Formats: sequence, structure tokens, C-alpha cells
Amino acid sequence: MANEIVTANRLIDGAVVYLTGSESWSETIADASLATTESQKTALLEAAARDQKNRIVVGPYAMTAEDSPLGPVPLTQRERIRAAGPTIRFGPPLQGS
Amino acid sequence: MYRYDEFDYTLVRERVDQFRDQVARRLSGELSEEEFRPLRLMNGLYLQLHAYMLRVAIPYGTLSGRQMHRLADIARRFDRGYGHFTTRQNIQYNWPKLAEVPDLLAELASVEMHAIQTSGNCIRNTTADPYAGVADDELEDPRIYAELIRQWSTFHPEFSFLPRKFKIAVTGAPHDRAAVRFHDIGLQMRSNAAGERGFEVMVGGGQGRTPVIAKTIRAFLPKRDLLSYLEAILRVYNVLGRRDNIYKARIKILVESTGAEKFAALVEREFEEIRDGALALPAEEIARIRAYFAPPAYELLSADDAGYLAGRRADREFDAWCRINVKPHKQPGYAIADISLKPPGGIPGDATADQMDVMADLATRYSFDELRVTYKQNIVLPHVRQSDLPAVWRELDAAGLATPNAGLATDIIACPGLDYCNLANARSIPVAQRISTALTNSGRLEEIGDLRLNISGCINACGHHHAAEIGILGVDRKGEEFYQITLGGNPGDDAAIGQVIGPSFSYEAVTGAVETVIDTYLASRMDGERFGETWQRIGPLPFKEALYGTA
Repeated sequence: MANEIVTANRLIDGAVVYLTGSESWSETIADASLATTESQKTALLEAAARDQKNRIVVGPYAMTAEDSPLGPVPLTQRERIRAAGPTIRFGPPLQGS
Repeated sequence: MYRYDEFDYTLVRERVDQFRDQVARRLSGELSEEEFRPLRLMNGLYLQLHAYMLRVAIPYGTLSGRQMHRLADIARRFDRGYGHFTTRQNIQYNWPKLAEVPDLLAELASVEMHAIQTSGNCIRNTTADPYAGVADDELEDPRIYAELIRQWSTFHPEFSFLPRKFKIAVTGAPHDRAAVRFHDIGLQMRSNAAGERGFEVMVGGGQGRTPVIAKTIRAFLPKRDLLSYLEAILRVYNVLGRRDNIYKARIKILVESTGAEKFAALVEREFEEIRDGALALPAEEIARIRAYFAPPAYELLSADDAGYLAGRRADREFDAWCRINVKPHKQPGYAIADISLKPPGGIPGDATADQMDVMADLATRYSFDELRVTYKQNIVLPHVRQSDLPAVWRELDAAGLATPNAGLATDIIACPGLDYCNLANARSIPVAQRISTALTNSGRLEEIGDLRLNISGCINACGHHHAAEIGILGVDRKGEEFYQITLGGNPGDDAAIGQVIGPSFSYEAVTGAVETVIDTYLASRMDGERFGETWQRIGPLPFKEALYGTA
């Protein structure tokens, strides 16, 4: 199985979040818990489904990721942008990313 | 401008209260996401790649300085200090928090604004010629009819669950600035042999994965019959439109599969049943709405203000802006000023809250408190005295809003693309930025002249690439961004759909490919030819050779 992590949007503000090892959600993909076996992935998805029911997150899903010294990194352009934010400078000069 | 009556106020306030209750029930767990999703979409609230996105309606693209100020306040208070003006003449906020959206909507309601009809399978916010009421070629102000359509369509119980979304565009001028042939229904005002005014009715246009140019099903529809006839079209569509396949659900597919003539006959039959019913528009009702759009109290001025002309001679930059961004106004001594939201290397359609405030102030002081949003993602000051143009230009320039490129190749329409959108396959904005930078740096923008260049990040075509002389479509190839180029599209009077010119280009290569296309055009064009005209004359071969070689 490809290594996978679980991501969702936080219900209250829509922020992109990743499920961590302590079954909490982090806005930083590096904090994500990397499932390397089917049973780990199932456990992550079960925890995510519970948090969807508990109104913490919306639309959780598993996505492939690669392990790195800095933690999991996404493999597709879509997930890279989703993890890091828009690739452009936006908004007022001082606030733009 | 239109002002809310008690019904409008009540309707919008009740909707805010209702949504506040729905959000509270979602957060308390009474509503599941499946139950809540259609409710939030009825209020223009999407969940996008990074966050929620709220789309706010700007009916027929007209708003007051006060409303623009409130949009700026909202950008600061509820978002990250900016907003994105869209091809639907609306504005989108990219980072609102669900729990705060009811307060945001209440702020909008306080200035007669809302997010109704900006999402879902209903009749969407009607769009119109951005130069409505001021263009020198206009027969009548299309906003009168767009407003009548709004009143008829808002919360229309029969048309709240259509097979798919439904977009109507209206123009009152013979020169189409509203891309009416690319809408589900396009309405263009015409005069008949007796000199009466009515509408040519075009149906079944659209972009997306199946681009179609609308067919005329009525060459002349009297004004009194406008709403009855629209109701008849919607009824036929509501009954016969496909609900089994989302890709075949738009009216364009129904019109294509039924045949325009047979479709027209079905509409006429339905229309005969209801033409003298409650929707018939008496002249008094049209006059009542027309009064809201009465021209402002123009001063009687001479046609070419001497100070303005002297100012143009004295300052080359001001002169360039006037030449490119200022358009003739039907009232002597006044001008239409296009405010470009396409600075070199900028994000098409984005404006910061501070910029919105500048534009709102300028509208209040110099344009009878009125602004327009264009489907090309720019803003218009519709009634500026020529003698005020130097002052307006200086203030715009200080705010980074005086780019002289209206209609030029860097006046790019671009969807939010993969930087924001859940549906996108590829980024649009940075491609627009790179092309804009390259073409600006080439110093040839004015030499290239008017050129429509549009970019979409997926086949849904929100960036209007099909209707562009040079269209760019982002595609996903194994997780990598590639870009297909289409040539020869046209949004206006000679509406045309662009043709794919060949295999797609990488993100790195697409800017160079666009430059090659433009070089090929410049090398072949005859005097005064637009890109589309050269394309018609020489065909795809020279472009293919230049892009892919002859082998």
C-alpha cells in the first residue's frame, strides 16, 4: 500500500487540516500521521469519521503522501497547493503570503 | 439605481435570519453536512480548496459607492483584506469562516446586498452590459429588464430546483458587451419594422465542457411579453431538461437534442397559454422600474473639454490611459472610465479593501455614486466629467488602479484555478501573471492592440477560454499541469468558439507559446485586423507551424 495520511476541512472555518498521531487535527501537514499499513489507514479514517460526526471536520479523505525528514509531503500538485496555500502573493501587500 | 422596497428588505432580512438559524443548527449537530450543504449553497457559500468561499451577488453589475465601501469593510473584517471580482459581475471572498457568515450576510443586507442566486440550480444573478445606460450606441438601459427578471426569478418557486444552473444576460445595445450568445438565455434589444422595441431571444448558449453558441428562437419579442416568454422557456426546460446526467443537464443540451426549431415551437405553445396572464408587463410597470434607472442630473457640457484635452497633451501616461481605458459617453462632456484590475503581473479581478475604498470614493465624488463590475473582471466609473478625468486618473494611479490596458492582451480573464478552486485541474492565476509580465515587458501591448486572452483552470471554463481569441485551458496530466491553447473564439457580435490548435504545453512553456501565437498574428495581419479576423483569413496552419514546426 502507498503511504497515506488523512485530511479534511475544519467545519467552523473551512481550514485544511491533517489528522495527527494523537487523533487531533493540525493545520500543518508535517504533523500528519502517516499510515503505512491498511489497518493504520482504517484506524485513521475511523477517527476522522468520528470527528466528522462530532462536527470538528468536513469531508475527510485519505491521500497518498511520502515520508520525509520533515514529515509527510504530498505527491500531487493539488495536494501540494492545498497544504501550502495559494502559490501566488495575494491580498494587501503586508498581509499577502 | 434600483432601491429596495419593503418586499426586498423583508425577503433579504428573512433570508439572513433563516441562514443564521441553519448555521447554528449545523454547528450544534442538528444538521448533518449532507443536510446543510444544499442550504449553504442556496446562500452562495461554497467549500473550496483552502476554506469556505462566499459569492456575493451584484445584480447586473451595478453598485453604489456605499455598497463598494461595505464590500471593502467586509473584506477587512471577515476576510483577508481583499476580494475577487468574477466573470459573473459578482465578488467572491476566499476566506470567510462559517460561524461568521451570518454576520457577514447581515452587513451585506444593510446595504441592500446578498448572496442569493449565486449558487445552486436556480436562475442565477442576471448579467448585463457594463456600460448600461451610458453607452452611446444603446437603445435602452438593459438594467430595467434585468431588474424585472430579478424580481420575477428570485425565489421563483417553480424554478428553484431546475435540472441545472441557469444564466441570463441582457444588453440594450446593438454591440454586444455582455457575451449574450454564451448564456442559457441571451436577450438583445432590437427595433422592429414598426419602430417598436423588443428583444431578440437567444437560447442554449454556454461554455463548459460543451461550448455552444445560443440560437435565436425569437427575432423580436415585445417588451410586454418578456417575463411570460422567459417563463415559457423555463417551463419547457424544467420539464424536458435532463436530470439524470449532470453533464447533459444544461438547456444547451436540450436545445441541441430537440432542435432549435422544435424547441422554439414548444416554447411558443407554452407562451400562448400564459401570454396575457399575470406576467404580462404593462407599460406602467416598465416605466416604474425605468424610473429607478433614470439618468443622473448631468450638467450641460460641451463635447470636448478643453482642460481635459490639454491634460492629455501634457502627460503621455494620462493620454495613454484616456486612449485605452476611457470610452465615449452618450452625454456630451462625460466619459466612461474603465478601471483595470489587471496590473502587470497582477491577479485578474482581485482588489484590496483599500482599492475598493478608493474606487468607492471616486464614484461618490466623480461618478454620481455609481460603479459597475464587468464580466471581464474590471470596474467601471460610468459617468465621469471629462474635466474630472485627470484627477480621477491621478487617484487611481496612486492606488495601482490606472493600468492602461482595457481590452488589450493583458486584460486577461482568468478563473481562480487550482490556487483556490476545488474543481480546478491546473493553476490559472500564475499563468495569467507570467503572460501579463512577458507581454508588458515586450513593450508591444499597444502595437498588438485589442486582443481577448482568457484562461480557465479546468473544462468548466469559468475563465471563458472558449470565447477568447487566444484561450488557455489547464489540464491535469498525471498530477502535472499542462495547458491547451485554443484560437479564434469571440464573445461578441460574431460569437465563435475557439479551436484547439494542437498538443498542450507545460506550465513553463505556455507563456512562450502564447508569444509565438502573437508573433504569428503580427507577422500576418493586415491593416487594422483584429486577431480573430486574421485567424479567419489565414486559418490554423501558420499557427501550427510556428508552434509545432512543420514536421
